Amino acid sequence: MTSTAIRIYTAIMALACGGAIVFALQQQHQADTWQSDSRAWQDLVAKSTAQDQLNARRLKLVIHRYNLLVRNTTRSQRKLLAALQQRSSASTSAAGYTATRTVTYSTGGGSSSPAPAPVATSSAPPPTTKTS
Amino acid sequence: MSALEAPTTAVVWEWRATGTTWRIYHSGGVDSRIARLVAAQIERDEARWSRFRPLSDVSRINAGAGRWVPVGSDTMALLADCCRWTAETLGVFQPLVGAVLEAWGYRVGLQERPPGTTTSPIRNAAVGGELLIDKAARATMIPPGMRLDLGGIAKSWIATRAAAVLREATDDESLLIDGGGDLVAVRGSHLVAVEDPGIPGGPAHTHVLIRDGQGVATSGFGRRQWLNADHVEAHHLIDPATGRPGPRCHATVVADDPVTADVVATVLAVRPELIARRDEACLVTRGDQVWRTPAWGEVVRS
Repeated sequence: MTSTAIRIYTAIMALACGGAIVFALQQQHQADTWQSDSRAWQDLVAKSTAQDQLNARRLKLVIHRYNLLVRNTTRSQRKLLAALQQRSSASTSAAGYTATRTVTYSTGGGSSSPAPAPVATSSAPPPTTKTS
Repeated sequence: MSALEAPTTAVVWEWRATGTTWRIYHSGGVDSRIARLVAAQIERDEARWSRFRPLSDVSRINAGAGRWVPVGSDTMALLADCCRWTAETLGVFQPLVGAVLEAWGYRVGLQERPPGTTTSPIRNAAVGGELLIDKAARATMIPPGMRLDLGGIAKSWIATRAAAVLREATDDESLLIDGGGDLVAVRGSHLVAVEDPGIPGGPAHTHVLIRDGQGVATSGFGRRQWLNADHVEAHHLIDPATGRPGPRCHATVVADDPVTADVVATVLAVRPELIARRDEACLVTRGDQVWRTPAWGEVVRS
């Protein structure tokens, strides 16, 4: 082998080694990136799991409170109906008649406005039945 | 005309309620205090039974469709009466037509919702379902999607209760309550004009005599009809069998009980052929056709 051939061989080998080193460095960088991403995802999963457990605990608390509300409402309704029945029968027996009994209670439908005042008129039409 | 039949009223109490004009005809025994007492009673009942009041029992029942809704004893009695009439008329009297009525364009009231803005429902849809009442729990329930409308009975119920208040409050021998065309003879006998359905506000078609406790009511398409956007004529009397406005009829009924007069008039306006099954004094007109029951001849006076 001549000295020229040896130089060419050395140069090629140097290039090949340099390329291999660059490739290895790039792969190392990519591996680092993937490792970083992997850690970030692991953190996210851990946080999500913790949040999910917290939500589950809060949901159980809300369900407990809702059930308590339903029980209390049912109890209150029973008491209200019993009181109304008692009041209704008391007012009926006290009045002695039922035809003109007044309103015993109104669940939200009570009149909030006063009744319009009737006015006396001498020019009313004769009593007439008609569609209204 | 005997003195008994003559209208003896010189002064009439008049006010607006339930979307119409109420009047008390009397012979001097009703002062302003008594008139206000009656008006207050009617206002209380309207506040509970009007579907146009957002806090009424009817509105609460509609809002809670599909669930049991607690109501007062008076509302419970009214709803029980509705169930009785639905059974007696084989479903022709149907208080659950509210949703269908709204679908046809009668949503709030003719004043609030100008007619002609609705497209008429295409298909017939019979109004079924059942109004459920639990007397022990004082609660009621309508099927989901249904809406209660007491238009065919509430006014006569209100008038009957107002009549009871008036009867207790005064000894006047001639008392008549007019609830926008449905009248109750509280005391005494009264001659009542029957409006010609073809000429609203015009001269009387005829006159009938109603006696102590009796009521007279007229039902028909005349005053609550409208033209929808698709040029289909509609009115407020829905035939539950088809879910569409009934025939263009008017019915006047005199009965011993004002509620009976009101309900039967509504039923006959929807199904005029049912007049053959009625014992009350009934007059039904459909265009030039006229049907009467034998009892009609006993109350008519001209």
